[in-house]
Formats: sequence, structure tokens, C-alpha cells
Amino acid sequence: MHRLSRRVGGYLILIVLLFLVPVGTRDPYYLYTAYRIFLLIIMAVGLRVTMTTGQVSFAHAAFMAIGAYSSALLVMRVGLSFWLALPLAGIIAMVVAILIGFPILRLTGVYFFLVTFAFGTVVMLIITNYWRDVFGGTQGLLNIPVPDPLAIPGLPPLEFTTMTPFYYLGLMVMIIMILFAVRLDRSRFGRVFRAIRQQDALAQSVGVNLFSYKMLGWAIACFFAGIAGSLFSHMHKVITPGDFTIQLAVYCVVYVIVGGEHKVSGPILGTALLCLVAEYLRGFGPIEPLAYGVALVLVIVFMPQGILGILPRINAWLGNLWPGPSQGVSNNDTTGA
Amino acid sequence: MILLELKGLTKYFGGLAAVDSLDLAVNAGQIVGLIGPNGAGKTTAFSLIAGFLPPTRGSVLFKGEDITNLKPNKIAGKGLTRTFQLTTLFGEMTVAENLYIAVHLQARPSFFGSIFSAPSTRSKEQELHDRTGALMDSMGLSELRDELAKNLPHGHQRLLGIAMAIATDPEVVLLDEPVSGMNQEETTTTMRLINEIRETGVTVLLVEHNMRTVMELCDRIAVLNYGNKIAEGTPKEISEDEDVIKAYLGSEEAA
Repeated sequence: MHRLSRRVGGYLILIVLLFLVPVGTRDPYYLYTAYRIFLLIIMAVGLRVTMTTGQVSFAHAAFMAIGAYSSALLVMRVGLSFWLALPLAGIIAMVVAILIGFPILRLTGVYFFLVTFAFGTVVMLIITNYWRDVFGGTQGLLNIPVPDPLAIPGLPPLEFTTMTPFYYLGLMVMIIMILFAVRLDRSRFGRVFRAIRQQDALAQSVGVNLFSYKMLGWAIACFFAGIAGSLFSHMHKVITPGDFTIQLAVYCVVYVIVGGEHKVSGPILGTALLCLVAEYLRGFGPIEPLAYGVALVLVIVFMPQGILGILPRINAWLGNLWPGPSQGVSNNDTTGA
Repeated sequence: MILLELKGLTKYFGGLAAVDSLDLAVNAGQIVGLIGPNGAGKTTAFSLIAGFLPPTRGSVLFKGEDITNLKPNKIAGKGLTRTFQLTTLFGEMTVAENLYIAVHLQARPSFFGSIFSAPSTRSKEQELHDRTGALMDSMGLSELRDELAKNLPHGHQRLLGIAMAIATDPEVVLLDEPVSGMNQEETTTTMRLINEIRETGVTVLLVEHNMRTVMELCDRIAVLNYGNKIAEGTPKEISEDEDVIKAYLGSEEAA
């Protein structure tokens, strides 16, 4: 009990610090970088959901693109408010995921990876080469409006004219998505996901419909990607097919694996750490992909449970200073009991 | 009353008949043993019944209904659950969590109810919680509830496998070598448990190598050899059957 409250306290302090960042700096570079990391965390946390059922998707960037283009077009062509387009972008990505899920979720392992890779490529080819009057071809969409001012009772309306309100938007949405993912993980659905991955035949023999559960995980993962896409397009104001490359899809998988898959905190840590390293490496030329490759190989060889797997050891060195997941790699604290 | 009936069940792997025209009727409330030398097709027969393999020919009737081409989870939903040979468990989960997955069938939880712990969901969860608790008590697994399944001693892993099948609330349970790898004491405990399972009204079909277990436990026994049923009867009849003795003892070595 004490340990739990200490951990919750640690997370609360972290959240408060994150909320205070724009007070400390108004440098748009830092706030922009943070916003990007928030979006990538939403992507990685979402991707992990389908990975817990054993399905590794390389189409995650394509689903982000679906969300980004849907959201931009809903606002620009249909005239919806951003605040409606944001959830709709997630839902559209989810609907596409469900449709494509019927044929492809019967595949597992490397076959699933290949077919999601192909699907992602097809989506990007369509966006680039067809219906140019809608998607804008290689130039993409320009002049995407920023979100409408947000009226918060008791405060002046939040105008999206600087990086600061975007920072808070990204932070809030990320926190909501993470909380949802944590609840999901601790619900019986999350448990069944992990069960399927460990022993699908046994899960089936006790009555689990593998296909529907895999579909559920897959739809949720793509919903997350759609939300991240919407947040991306209305901040950048310009989106092109080049923003959603297969490289991004690969990075998302790397974030999850490097951070560790067995808890929601894994992809969060993995994304934050690798993005910060990449940001630092930016000054040394295009070695980001190389650094990611090296990180991936090192993690797979030496840290099969990712950063999460070595946290207990770091914790021991620090003499329990770190309020994080000191339970280590066991699943004991995912029971939610 | 015939609860489970196999009619001409046949499975070819390439040119090899793993199970060949198997007919078998299992009456409600019985413990029926399926025995035979290694490679006789016993586990294949289990996989055919539980829907893990499609048969080449023949059919499986459960309560008079044809379940031949249904998926395993559907078959489990109708009340027929199998266990696996060796230890097939969710190794990275605790004993309690393993059972929790297995009571899945009775739950049908709503998605948002589960995520946001709605009161209706919570009371249902509590009910399932109690059920897994009772099951662990009756199986002697209560003290190990928070152990990861992969860290359990072998005998307890086998028991957990059986407990998970029972957790689905089946009418028929197929036990694949329930006492393999167990010591004498564990075997005795498990046999008592299987009898108790039958007394709660669950029909048991089991595959087993351990002759003492089969002879003491089963009401009826069917003997397979090279995919064919070569004998069927009470334990006494089987132990006196010449074909069976030949299949088991062969001409060179004792089984």
C-alpha cells in the first residue's frame, strides 16, 4: 500500500513538472520537441496494445496518416470543429483497421508483419498518387487550420497561436490515452491479450475467441494512431505523405521493444529516451537511424525485457530513490488487485 | 445417455492414418479412458474432438449436435474442454490469473464496463473472483495463487491445467495424460480429484499411459493401436483382452 502510494506520488510529481515546463521556458523548440514526443508516445503506447496480442504491425505510420488526413479534411472540407475531428480521426483509423483486420488478422508472426508493411505502403501510395484534388498528391495538404479556441470556464479562451497551448493539448491527450491504456491492461481484456500471446491454443481451449480479441487490440492500436495523426496535422498546418514514412512505423516498433512490452510504461520510456537521444544526435548528421538500429540490437541481445527489465537493477543501485516500477519485471503488479 | 459420440472419426497426415474410423460413445457421468501404445493416435483423437484439427472424415456429436467443424472456443462454449499434454499454461501469469482467463466463458464482460470498472462489472468480477478462489481451494492451489505458473512444481502445473479446464464449467472434460510426470503421492491426489470432478456431474474422457490410474479410475476403456480401436470394455474386460495384451506387451519387450 505504502509502495503504491509512493509510486502514484512519483507519477503525480512528474505530471506537475510536465505541466510547469511552459512556465519555465517559452522556447518553441523545446515545446515543439515535447509535443512531438507526446504524439510518438501515443503512437507507441497504442502499438503496444496490438503487440500484446502477438501482432507486430508495421502499418502504424499509415494509420497515423489516415488520422491526419481525415482530421484535416473533416475540418477543411466538411467544416467540422477540430474538437470533433480529433475523436473522429481516431474512429476512422479504427474503422479502416477493422475492415483490413478481417483478412489480415488470421495471420501471425512474420506474415502479419509483411502484410501490414504492404498495407502501409499501399495506403501511402494511394494518398500520394490518387485523388490529388482531395489528398493533394506529394505536396499534401496546406493551410490546415489550428484548433478552435478552447473555452475553459473561469479562464480566458485558449487560443492556439503559440506553441504553449499545443503543448498542453498534447500533454492532456497523451495522459488520457495513457490512462486508458493502463485501465485496459489491468482489465480482463488486457489479461486475455497477454494470454493469447503466451499460449493461443490454451486460450482457445478455455473459450477465448482469438480473432475477436486480436481484432479488439488491433482496432484500439489504430485508434491511438489516428488520434496522434490528428494532433500532428493541426499543429504542423501542413501534412505531406513524407511525414508518415515506413521509417516512422519502424521507429514505433523500436520504441516499444527498447522500452519493454510488458507494461504501458515501457513504450513511454522507450519513446522518450530514444527521442531525446535522437534530438541530441541531430547535430552529428543523419545518424539517427543508425543509432536506433544499434539500440535495437543491443536491447534484443542484452535486455530482452527492454528498459523495464533493467529498472529494478538501477533501482537497487540508487537505493530505492526511484519511485518507479520497483516491482521489476514480474507481472504481479499488473493484476490490479 | 450418450453425451459425446464419435462416428467414423478419421485423420490422415499425408498417407498415414493417425486415427482410423474411430467409433466411440461416452455416457454422461462416466470416466472413460483412451489408452494405447505411443503413437496410437490418442492425442490426435483429442485434438479432433476439441476442434484443434479438422478430421479427414467422420463426425463428432456432442449432446446430439454435430460439432465437427466448430472452432475450439465455440466447442468450449458448448461445454467441452480439453487439457493439454505436458504443461501448457500461461507461464508469465500467476496461478490466479491463469484461472481468471479460464473463467472467461462465464463472464462476457462489457468492454467499457471493464475499463471504467462499472458497478455491474465489478460485482460480476467479484463473483468470478470467488469462483477462482473456490477452485483453487478444491485443487489445493490456494497457497500458490500469486506464483507465476512457470515457477510451479511440475505436479502443481498439471493440476492447474486441470483446474483451468474445470473453470470453464464443462459438461465433458478431456484430460490428456493428467498424471504424467507425477510422483506416487501426486498421482493419488490427482486421481481422487478426477473422481471428485466426476461426482460434480462432469463427464471425463482421459488419455493416460499409467495403467494403474486407468484401471482404477475408468468405468470404460477404449484401446487404440495404429489409429484403430482394437478393444472397448470395462477395465476387467480390457485387462483380459488378448489383442490388448499383444499390442502392449508385443513380442519383444514389456511396456
